[in-house]
Amino acid sequence: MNPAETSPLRLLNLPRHEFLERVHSGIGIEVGPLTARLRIRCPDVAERFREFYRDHPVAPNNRIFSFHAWLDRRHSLVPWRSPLVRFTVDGRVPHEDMPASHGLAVLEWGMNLVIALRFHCFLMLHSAVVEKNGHALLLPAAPGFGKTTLCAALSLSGWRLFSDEFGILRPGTTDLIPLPRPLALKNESISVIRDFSSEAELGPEIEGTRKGTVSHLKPPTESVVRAAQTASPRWIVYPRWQAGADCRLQEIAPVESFMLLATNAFNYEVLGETGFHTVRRLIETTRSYRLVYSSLEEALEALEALPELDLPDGG
Amino acid sequence: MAHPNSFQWVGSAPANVVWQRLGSDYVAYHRPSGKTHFLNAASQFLVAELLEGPLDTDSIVQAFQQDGASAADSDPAARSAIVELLDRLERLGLISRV
Repeated sequence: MNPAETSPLRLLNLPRHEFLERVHSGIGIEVGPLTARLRIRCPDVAERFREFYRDHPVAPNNRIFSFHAWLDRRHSLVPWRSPLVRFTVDGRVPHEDMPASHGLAVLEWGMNLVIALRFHCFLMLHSAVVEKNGHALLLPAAPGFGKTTLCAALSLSGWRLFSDEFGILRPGTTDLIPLPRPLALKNESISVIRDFSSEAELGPEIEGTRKGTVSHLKPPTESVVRAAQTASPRWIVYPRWQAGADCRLQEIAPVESFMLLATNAFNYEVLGETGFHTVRRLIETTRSYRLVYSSLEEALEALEALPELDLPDGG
Repeated sequence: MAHPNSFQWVGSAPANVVWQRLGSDYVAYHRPSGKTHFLNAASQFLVAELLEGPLDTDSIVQAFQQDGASAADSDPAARSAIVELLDRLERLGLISRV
């Protein structure tokens, strides 16, 4: 599919000079259900941003934006220290300035922070989400459990990427909403995904961040182009990468899944009873499993076989 | 401290708690605190009994024994565990004294 053929203006349709001009003053970008206005005054980050968000629709400047985020290059007060970047959202600086070489990661983490803290019109689960044949698979996990790596491999294997970080749905409904953005691979995961697929479009390795070495994976074009298409959840799989472990996919009780999902959500308690009923409906309409794995290929095989477990004699 | 049988226990008013059965387990949303609770088998049994109507501590212990869930009547440790469970569920607002 060529995104240029679809109706909205996408970032790739903007000539480079026009993009650079607009991003310097602030450019509107549609990211799933959100519309961000981003001002990037770090030339190298702006170029990377253009690559990784090239399939995203450009929003006109007269829109009401979900948030305004700035990334500005700052000169350190200490002459021998390397330059810094400052992330600002709606005029506020949520954390200290970071090394300029971490710029893209700072921008991406800053956007994660804004989304997680701000958009309580959604129930936001800490979960990767992918979709195939109209059925969404949630992969909720704590950091370090291999969620993003598994999500990246699935999105490079015919599954549609919704998000590697946010399972979002409108309270009172169970349809998951895509929020496709670059995936931040960390440390060993970078070479794992590079070796996994020649189609993996990875950015430069950003060393020395607070999460180690980070490299971003561009979201697949089709996932971005179809970002308005929601999907019904069918499976919830709690993944855990464990060195040397045999691949095991084991069904868990609905109440255990409820507890894991609710305690891992960004804003379950904020939503109160509405959150309770939304998670309840999600649990009632899905089957939940634990997945322990060490081989990515075996994990993918187990996940591809999920529809067979739904058959009456499956499982 | 009041004698355990000088009052009765009852499940929290339906207006305060939303109960949901998931498979063979229960989750409860406590409206006044906004907390969600996950109930194990013993708690579920106890709360289910008290949602039927008020019971004093002896009757609850007896109900546990009849259910085969515990040898509480003859085992002081089991009885004390039930009393502790009642206190915990009361603190969570899932049951109350009448």
